[in-house]
Amino acid sequence: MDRHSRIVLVVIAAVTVILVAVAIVVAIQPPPVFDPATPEGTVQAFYQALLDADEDLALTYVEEDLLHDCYMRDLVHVMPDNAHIVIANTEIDGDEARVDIVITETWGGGPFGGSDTFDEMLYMTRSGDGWLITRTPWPLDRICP
Amino acid sequence: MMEVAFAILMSLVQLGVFVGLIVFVVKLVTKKGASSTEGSGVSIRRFFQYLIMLVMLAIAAFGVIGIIDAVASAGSAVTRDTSAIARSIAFVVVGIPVYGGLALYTRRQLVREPREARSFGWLGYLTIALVGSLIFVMSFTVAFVGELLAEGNVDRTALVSMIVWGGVWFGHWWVAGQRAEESRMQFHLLAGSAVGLVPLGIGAGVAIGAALGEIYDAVFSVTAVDAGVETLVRGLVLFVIGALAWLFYWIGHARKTDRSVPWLIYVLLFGVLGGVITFVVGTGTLVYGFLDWFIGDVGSTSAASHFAFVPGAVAALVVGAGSWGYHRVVLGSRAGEARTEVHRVYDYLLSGAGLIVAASGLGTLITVALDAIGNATTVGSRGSTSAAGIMLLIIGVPLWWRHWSTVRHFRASEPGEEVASVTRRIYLFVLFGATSLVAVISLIVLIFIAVEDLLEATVGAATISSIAVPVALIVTSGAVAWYHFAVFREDRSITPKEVVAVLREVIVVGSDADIATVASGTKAHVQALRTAGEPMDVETLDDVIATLGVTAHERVVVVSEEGRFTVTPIEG
Repeated sequence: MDRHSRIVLVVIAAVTVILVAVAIVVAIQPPPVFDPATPEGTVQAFYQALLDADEDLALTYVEEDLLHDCYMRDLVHVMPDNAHIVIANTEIDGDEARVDIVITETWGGGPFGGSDTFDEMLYMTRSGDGWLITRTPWPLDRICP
Repeated sequence: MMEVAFAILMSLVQLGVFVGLIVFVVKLVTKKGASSTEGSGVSIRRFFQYLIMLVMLAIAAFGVIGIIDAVASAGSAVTRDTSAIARSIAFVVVGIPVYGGLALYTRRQLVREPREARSFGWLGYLTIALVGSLIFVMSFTVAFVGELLAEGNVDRTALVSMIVWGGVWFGHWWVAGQRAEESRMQFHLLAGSAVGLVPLGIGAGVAIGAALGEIYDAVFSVTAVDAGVETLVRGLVLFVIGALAWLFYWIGHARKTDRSVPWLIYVLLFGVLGGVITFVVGTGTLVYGFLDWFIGDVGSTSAASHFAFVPGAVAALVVGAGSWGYHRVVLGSRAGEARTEVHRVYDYLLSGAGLIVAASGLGTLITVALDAIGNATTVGSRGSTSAAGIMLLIIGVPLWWRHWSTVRHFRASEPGEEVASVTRRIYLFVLFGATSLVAVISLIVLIFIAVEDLLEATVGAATISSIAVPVALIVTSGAVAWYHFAVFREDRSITPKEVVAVLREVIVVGSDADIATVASGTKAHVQALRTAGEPMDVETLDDVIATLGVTAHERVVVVSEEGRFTVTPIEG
């Protein structure tokens, strides 16, 4: 093997190791904890409760009026197991707030399973020390016509 | 976006495998060209080597993009996404080392074996990698810049994807410059030109349409709510990105290459025919809209609302005329120049396009007339349908007449050459065959309807309406078939004065330079047998056989000339 090939192999190995190390560091770190008194913290608490199958807790972050027409018996199935949620933008205007989120849903096992990425917006109003979701948020819109 | 990109890539890979298998089998069966001097094992090795490289390249790129994206979004994630990270790690751990190893192996092959650089596998790999990465770079750049300018948002995933696929494109462009003959990369340059031309045209059309639409709205106050400015911005972004790619590929490289068959296909099909179709659609929409205002959609809406189509139609007309006109200039002026097959393809292509449009218009008007006689209830306005028919005639007849007149002029002044043209024969056969088929099928439908109504004793005005479409098709396609059959018969009456042998194939035994020189001086197919050593002069056949018994080469050519023989070793 000539010198050039050895150098290339070393670079390939180094790049692979660095990328994998960075990925592992990112993967094992828990997501940042947002202040529960902020709109971002409310979004995080709402979705974490749904992912933990604690629907009662999740619904405490949503305005009660929104839930009147919902098929509540389907609530336990509404949250996909593999949903990754990232906050893209937050706008606060007095007692009103809007949080833009990017959701990636994955399905199918293994590395070649499918996924779908889409944007959603959560509208909130200040309520006591925290915030309350005022329009039907994803994924409750699937059971609240 | 990433999912769509991945799906597109997988589709491209599937298509590449399918096409590659077909080409591979054809090459094995026909044993043509330079590769015929190699064993089929080499072709199989190349097929899988470059296929795996392409797949690994894509997997490695998506893995790197996934990891960078995960790092960039870590601070704003509200949930963990272990499966995406796991997938990216798997892609990187497998994709980068396997691709790197194969790339090193390929580099060694390219250095050791000159035929590797000319092989279909290597050139196909470079073409797919370059064109595929170009499509990704352009798509992600349009998404990123469009979102930034229109919404003020930074699409991080698009930005990362743009940079990674840009790196893939740049790397392969550099390698192609080092390890591939430019003359053999023409297909890639033309594909890149087409990839640039399409968004350039669409972007220009969208931007012009949006700009004119804004002016139209400002003058006539038609639209209450619209996305005019955003559409304009996104159209301009698409136009600029497409224009950059097109300028680089076409103006910078492909335009100056040989006027080969792929070159003409690009200019005639993408540039000329694409431009003509766009122009005809724009002009047709305008003509139809104006006719419909007077004889079809009379008084049902306000004029400002009815003519809201004008900006879009004008945009299509301008873009189509631009593409048509530019590529017409690229083909070259005919003044004082002998008529070539390129000129014929141009004339027959546009003549055929005009004829199809005109025949459609005639058929539509006949249908409306018969329908009116039958007085049946029709879906939509009879006036609007008549307007559509008239519009098709107004567009189609001049287009057909202009180019068919040119054809007739050369048929009269240079009958021998025109009649012998392959393009003319294809044109006549295709038109005659296709229209005959339409006429026959329409006749079957016509007889079926007539007999069925006869047997059920329901023949009447409604029958005339029922047979309107098949009768219109029989009349129009029958007339076209009959006319072109007559032209064909007239052509056959011209007997060539003498049969001249046409050179079809040249077999060259020599160096690369010899082969290139001969190939540049003839239009015939050149089969290249590259010499692998000095030729040996041998006196007798026995000496030839003795020489063959001790030669160290796998393949030799023996040429007999005036009782003497030359044994030339060739590559392979």
